[in-house]
Amino acid sequence: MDLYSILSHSTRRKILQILEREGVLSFSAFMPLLKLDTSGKLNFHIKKMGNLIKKSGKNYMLTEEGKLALKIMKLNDNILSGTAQLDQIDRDEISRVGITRIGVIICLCAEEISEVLDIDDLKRYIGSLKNVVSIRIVDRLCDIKESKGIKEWIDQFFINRIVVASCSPRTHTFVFEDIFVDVIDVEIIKNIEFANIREQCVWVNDSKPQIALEKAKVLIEAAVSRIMLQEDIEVKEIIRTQKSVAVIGGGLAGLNLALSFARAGLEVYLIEKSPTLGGKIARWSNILDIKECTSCYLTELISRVMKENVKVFTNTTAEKVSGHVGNFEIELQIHPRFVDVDACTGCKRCTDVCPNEKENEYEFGLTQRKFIHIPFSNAYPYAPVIEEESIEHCRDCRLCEEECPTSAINLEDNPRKLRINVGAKVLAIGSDLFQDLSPYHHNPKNDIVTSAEFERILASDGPTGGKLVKISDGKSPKSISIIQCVNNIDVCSNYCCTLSKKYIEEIEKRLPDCELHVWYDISRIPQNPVMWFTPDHKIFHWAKILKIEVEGNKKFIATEADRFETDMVILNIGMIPNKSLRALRESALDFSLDSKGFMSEITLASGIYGCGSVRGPADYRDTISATNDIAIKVISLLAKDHLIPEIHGSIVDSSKCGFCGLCASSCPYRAISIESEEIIIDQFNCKACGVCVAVCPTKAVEMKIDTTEKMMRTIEVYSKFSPSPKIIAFACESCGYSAADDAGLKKIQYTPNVLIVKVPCTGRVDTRFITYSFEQGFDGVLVVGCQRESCKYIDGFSKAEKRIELLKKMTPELENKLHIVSLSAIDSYKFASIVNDFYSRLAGKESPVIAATQ
Amino acid sequence: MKPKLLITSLTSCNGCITSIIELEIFPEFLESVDFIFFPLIEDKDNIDNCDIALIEGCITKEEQKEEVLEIRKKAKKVIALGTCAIFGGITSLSDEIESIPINEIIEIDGFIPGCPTPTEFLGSSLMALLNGEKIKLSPKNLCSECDLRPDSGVKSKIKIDKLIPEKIPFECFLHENVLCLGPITRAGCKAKCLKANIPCEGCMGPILADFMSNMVNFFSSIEVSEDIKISEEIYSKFTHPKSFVKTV
Repeated sequence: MDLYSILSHSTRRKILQILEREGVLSFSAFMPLLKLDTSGKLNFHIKKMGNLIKKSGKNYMLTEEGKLALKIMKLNDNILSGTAQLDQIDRDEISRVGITRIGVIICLCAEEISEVLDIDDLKRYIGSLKNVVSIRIVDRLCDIKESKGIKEWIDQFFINRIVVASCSPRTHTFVFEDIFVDVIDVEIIKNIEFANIREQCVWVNDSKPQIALEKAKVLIEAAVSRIMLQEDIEVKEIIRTQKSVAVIGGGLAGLNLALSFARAGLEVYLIEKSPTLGGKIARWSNILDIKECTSCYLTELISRVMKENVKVFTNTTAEKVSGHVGNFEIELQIHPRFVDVDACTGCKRCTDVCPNEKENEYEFGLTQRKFIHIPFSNAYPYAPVIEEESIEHCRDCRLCEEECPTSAINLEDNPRKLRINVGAKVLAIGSDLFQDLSPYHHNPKNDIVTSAEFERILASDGPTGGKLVKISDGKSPKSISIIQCVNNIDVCSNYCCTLSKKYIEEIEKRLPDCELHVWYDISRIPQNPVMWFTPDHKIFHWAKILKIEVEGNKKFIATEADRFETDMVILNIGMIPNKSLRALRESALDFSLDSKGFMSEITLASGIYGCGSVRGPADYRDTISATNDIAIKVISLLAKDHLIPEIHGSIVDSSKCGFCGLCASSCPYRAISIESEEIIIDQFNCKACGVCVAVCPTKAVEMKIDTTEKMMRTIEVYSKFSPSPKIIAFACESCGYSAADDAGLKKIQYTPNVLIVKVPCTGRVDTRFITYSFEQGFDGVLVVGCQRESCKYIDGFSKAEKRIELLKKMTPELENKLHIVSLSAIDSYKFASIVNDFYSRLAGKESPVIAATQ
Repeated sequence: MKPKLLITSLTSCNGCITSIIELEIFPEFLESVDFIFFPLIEDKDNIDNCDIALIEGCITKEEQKEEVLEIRKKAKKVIALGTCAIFGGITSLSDEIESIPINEIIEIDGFIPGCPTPTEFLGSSLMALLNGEKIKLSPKNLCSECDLRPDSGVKSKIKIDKLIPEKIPFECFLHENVLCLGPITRAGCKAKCLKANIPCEGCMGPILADFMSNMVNFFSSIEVSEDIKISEEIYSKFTHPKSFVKTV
């Protein structure tokens, strides 16, 4: 068959193109790529491909003839579409064999640069550098009119890498990337390098044109050598975002979040471990601050959630999680309820006939309930449930099954597994209540109750039917004492003060004659407590020693000064971290905990969010504002169709990695984790500070753009700079480098004997950079970073400080030759004076006075 | 023709050359080479030409310098045997005598680190030499051979408050707050000490040429409690970080 017959069918042309892209491909891998529905069709076309492809093992690949056919096809396309460039194939050849053809653009910035520098001399020097194929002098690169000429120039010289010698990359990278976006490779950033000859050369050294020229030469040469070292970057993790969210926990936070997400058009999975929605707040009598009855509020909230696109799973836990932000797979375990929710009418005949009773955990054990039960009157779904632990007993009895009019009860129900895909997950499982109550003689039957139990006493559906009476005898108490701060020492519950306010009002309303006292144990009051009252309020008492003493059914509050009897004690308890949190973290979800054991804030970027009291003690108001905050974050994250990870970030070379884990323990974003045989860097969490690269003892971790090799090469090239004494400054992009740029913008003149290396963060400065600089002949090394507290990468500056302090300690001769300073981005005068002082000290001279020329 | 082998010992404990005799392959090794000098077997006054010279120990005397220079002239390949020969070893901790690694005096063709050189690694290195191959040094750190890996998952900061472990470790010593030099020490010894629950002291020497920066990076990335004094005896027991600053 001739070539044109083979190429006559679009599928066969596509086979060639796919093979060109993929290299080798198996039969089965072809099918989805070609969108063919039967293997017969593929077989037919593969047979027709003739000698253009060959089979090796199970895989197909292009033959030399096949590659030629592709070239002909491309040339055809170009000629027919009118964009014919007969040398197009040569260009492909160049990029295929990886020949670096560098074009250098020198921007004169109107006359700013040419006024100081001898451009012809500069051009001659740069032109002699290896791999530089052409130099283009432009008047103003930021002028849009230049872009057409540049496109032609790139085509003419087959340029595939560009060095821009002009103003600061910090301010102009995006402007220039826009110019080159159509003409250079898509991953533009790796193919462009900058030499800052304006802010950090001519504008600060305009009175010394000879040294400025030499400086411009090394700055450009270093940029050329850096772009030579840039390797291909594989952007493999472009994630198509799932427009769905898993909300774990169906309490106040979970319900409000689910509602916000659903209204924003996201698909929501609301996953609740217990058999009903509502969470802790469902047991509260009314909501603090707004005084609304909880059951009314919850019923309305749940009905609103139900109107939207929310898939509710009760009695369900999240077991396994895999994948990344944007696309997680979660395995759900749906525990058996033994009652078909859809068939049940809620008639309660089953609970009436059930002969077995146990403690009612919804009422904190204040009452008993049946084995088959509806958790509470506003439960959703409103259907009975049997716990798995009781089921053996129930299977022996089966009274409920016989009684049920709709055959909704199935005592043979089994657990089910379900997999869901979501773009983000929110943990809203709430907290637990403080439990170490034995020192307080906690005993509801003796009327020493927790605030949670008191809420049930106040609630109209509670064990006392909403009457404020003692559990022990059903009579109204004559005196009530509220004990505050029943919590872990030094942790403010954040709400027990406000809760006591609610109780005071409630008690005064219901029992106007009841004597009421609120007690604070001074030793337990945390620093900066949240308090609403003035300390002179008559019913508040402060005690150095506060004890509850019990004699039979009599209760006494004993302090260092007094002891008096009370009818009822309310222990105002705090919130402690949810006990499921650690287990969840180990089994399924990747997040960190803070020092108190609550979910930490640091995790917020990885597609897992915490909301409500899972993050720490929170009342109604705190929780609602947190749900809004998280909802905005999640909705804006998932609004994008694709997520692309940090292109500057770090990667691991497993052939050098020894699994010491130093990278993981030094990452400020906890983006690095240790798996059994692999170090995993989460490319979405990585913020490209480079701290991990600096600490890696075997140099197995490397940055994609700011590589160690590039830095070392920059130091080597910079060392050609002849003035003496000379200083090399490693300046962090956000502050140090910006301060130097700012000095340029203000045209502050400082010593020309300093060369600046841009680093993403001072934490990136490997000690080796410093030692190598001295080896290469620099007389002084300066590390310029952010203010310690406001380091862009959390503690990068502190890490650099520690490194330098240690290096100086081990090498005392460096005492006066190595300095680390912190600056803010506008500290331009400070930057100039630091450099000048350093220079003078190295040269043994007086420091010159700094003056701005304007 | 069997290759001619010279083995000599400078200032050292003779531990490394003793390890050669301890090798399982020692009988075969003995068969396959001609010793022209081996302190424990063959002794001579002058040095003849040879194919491979293995030098153990560091230089502390003037005549040792001359001996090393002489060996360099006569030997086709000079190999530093043991940590003393290549990094100075424990002798460099002395305040009284200066210990000079042989590679500061002559160019060497390879080195077999360790104090003493671990048998398995020594055996494979010697076989490589006899086959005319290069000695294979691991590019990884000791952690790659250690069973006490850090637990999987995201790790928190390392805080050191002990030099000697108080109990048998469950995971990486560093995460149990015990100092271990494994991360900045070259692999090759199969982590023998760690398998006996002893943290690494760094006898295999550094992975990268610039030990100083490796060490500074390491010690600044961990937190060391104030009551432990991290002294030279701990961080450079076997390898003395050379000063790199040019003298002004």
